[in-house]
Amino acid sequence: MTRHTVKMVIIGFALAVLGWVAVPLPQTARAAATAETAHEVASVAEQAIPPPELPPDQRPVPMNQRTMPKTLALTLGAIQVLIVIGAILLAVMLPTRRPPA
Amino acid sequence: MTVLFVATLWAIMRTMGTSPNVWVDTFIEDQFVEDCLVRGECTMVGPGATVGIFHSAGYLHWRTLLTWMGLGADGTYIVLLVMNALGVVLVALAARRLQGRFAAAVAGLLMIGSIGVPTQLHVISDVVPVPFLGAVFVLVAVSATMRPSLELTALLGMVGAVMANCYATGVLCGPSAVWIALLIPQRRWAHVAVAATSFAAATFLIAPGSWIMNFSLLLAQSVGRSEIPALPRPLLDIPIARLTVVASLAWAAAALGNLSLRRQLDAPAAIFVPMFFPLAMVGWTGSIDLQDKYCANVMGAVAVGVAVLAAATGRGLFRKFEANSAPLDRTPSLALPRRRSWRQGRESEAQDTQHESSRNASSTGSLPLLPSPATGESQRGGPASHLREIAERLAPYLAALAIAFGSTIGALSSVTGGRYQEAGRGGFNFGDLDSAQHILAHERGWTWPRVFRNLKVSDSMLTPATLRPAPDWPDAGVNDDLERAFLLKVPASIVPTTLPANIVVANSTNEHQALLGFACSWIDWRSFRVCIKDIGDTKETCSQSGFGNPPSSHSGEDVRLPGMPTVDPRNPPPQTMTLHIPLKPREQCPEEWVYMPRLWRLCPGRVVNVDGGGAGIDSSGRWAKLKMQKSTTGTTPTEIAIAFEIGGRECWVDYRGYPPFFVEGDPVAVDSLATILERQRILEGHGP
Repeated sequence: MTRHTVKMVIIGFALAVLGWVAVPLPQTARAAATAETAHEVASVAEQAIPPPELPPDQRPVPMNQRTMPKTLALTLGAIQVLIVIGAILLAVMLPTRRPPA
Repeated sequence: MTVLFVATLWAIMRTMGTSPNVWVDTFIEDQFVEDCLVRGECTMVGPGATVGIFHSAGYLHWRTLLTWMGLGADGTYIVLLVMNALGVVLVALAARRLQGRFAAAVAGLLMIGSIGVPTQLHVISDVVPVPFLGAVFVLVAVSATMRPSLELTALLGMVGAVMANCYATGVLCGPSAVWIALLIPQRRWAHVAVAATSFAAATFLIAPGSWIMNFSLLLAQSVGRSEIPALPRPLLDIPIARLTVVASLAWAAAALGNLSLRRQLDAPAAIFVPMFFPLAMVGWTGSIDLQDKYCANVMGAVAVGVAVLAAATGRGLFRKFEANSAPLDRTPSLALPRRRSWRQGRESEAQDTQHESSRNASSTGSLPLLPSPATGESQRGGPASHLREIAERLAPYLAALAIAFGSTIGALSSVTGGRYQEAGRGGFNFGDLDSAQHILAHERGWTWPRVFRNLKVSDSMLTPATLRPAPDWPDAGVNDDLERAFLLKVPASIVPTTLPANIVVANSTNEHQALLGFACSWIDWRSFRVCIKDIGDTKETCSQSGFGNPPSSHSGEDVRLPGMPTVDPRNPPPQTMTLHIPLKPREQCPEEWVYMPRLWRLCPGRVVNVDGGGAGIDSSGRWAKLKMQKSTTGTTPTEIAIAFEIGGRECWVDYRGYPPFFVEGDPVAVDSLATILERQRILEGHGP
């Protein structure tokens, strides 16, 4: 990895963080996060759903109620498992390897 | 290491059992998992936490994966136990690479002494995998400093990301990964960039919704405002915090003194030192009630750090002894303090790396950066060195033996301060629920609505809402709403050898039994009146309540019964709640007894009134004995009033939005159940 590539990765990451921070986020989050259980989270967020004049199908879904498809969730779970298994195998086996001549 | 793994796994399973205790967080997680697998609605954010943030959805993703693979509560729990046993071994392996087999043995013992009930090893929760992930992290960190490669550094960041998505304290893995990258002498800044990028990117990508939400909460400064009152606990009361302080101070002393020991402590220190500062700050301010689980991510690193320190000290003392006994046969030790400047130290590290790599490559093929204590030096020594070598070789086996034997005789728990003792202390596990469900569904033909209304459990955590419908409840059956079932979990020693016909053993171990008792009752829980009065107030508000149809799912539904006071675990108002329950006397059971238990995790109630005749309420209000009058001159009781003081010390979180547990029914059933529960009361040390 060249120094230039490293710089580009750092700059790209910084821009991504800035963009992430700049995204306006729903105010409902603050109230909802103090709720302890899933039920309370759901009920607090539900109470805070604005604005009543919009028909139900057009109301924005609060962030904490947004969902993803099952396949994506399972894939993300599998990726984590693979990361951990890969890390263990590499860390356990690495010292037995001979360095390249 | 295999022997250590087998001994650890055996010890953990023997003490913790193979079925997890029921736990509120587990039920909440199960609801999210069910939403994902059954309804295809997988959360992007995760459940809310008490300190104002959201638990990451990342942990739920792989819990969902386990359920999707067919693992139930018991299967998932065994996976978690195996992970923790493996964590003990990985920590031992990391210590072995740094300071040899003796350090491995010490690290393994420290690690198994650190995990246990305080890290929630007896339940399924997001804390349970953290010690294991911490062990993986420290092993990868040690490997990354011994044999640097960008791939390993990237994996280090990604393992940290998995931990950050499991429990919030894992976020400290980010600074740790960067620190570890800084320890690598060659291409240092490339390693730093890779560590930071891999950690940040993987953390975000595993659960973007959770991090967007938590970051916005952080910006809104609404994090850390838990309304649950903190119970300040001295920092040094927590064993792992004590060890973290010891390890941090040892590393700091070694760094300041430029001792060679610092090089061995660098990698684990990069993990536990970042934890030291928040720990010290929280301990100083007392803003959060400190718990062992907050240190779960650094347990492995602390165990390695303390083990390296112990092994190096022991070896130094041994050499001193050896030098005194045979002064002409010794060379200066690498483990003894070497004084040199910081710059000299950093420069020589790079040289050492190259030297050690080439030396090991040409000899054994293994690549320890630091001199292996078990090799080389012993070849120079005499009988004492050989003795030391034998002791080093045996150390991990002795540790394994100590773990296995300790759990067999119960010493593991006494040595670790009860960490392996409380697992089954009166708490129900999922095996108990499965057995009870089998009896009710298959032997008694109970339907789920009947269970919801008529099964009473002697643990406030198990509300009817948490005993959700399982797939194999019968669709139809006899709906007798005057037959009651009581599920108890009691120590086996207090259960009579011969049980009456109305009580069956649902599940049992050597220590505990889950009992299912049946009674013929006058109470119909479908309808009753609940009256609330604030303490010190005279005004009472009454409303109608009752067990109607059970909830079909958790989404958007209130868990409490209608009319019952709101559940507020943060700041429950002190109130007197009186249940006015109509009585329906009948020929099958002409007498009705009511018994109010006094037990851990149960709100204490008292019978305050019985409308009609034939009632006998004792002075404490703990017993009422009612009779149906068969003659036309007598009167039959029509309503019983039972009061509970909720929001007080004895009924705080135990009030869950449902009528608290008490025993009611025919005299034979109530008497036999009350006898057992009274023995339990005495065992728990409750007052009369």
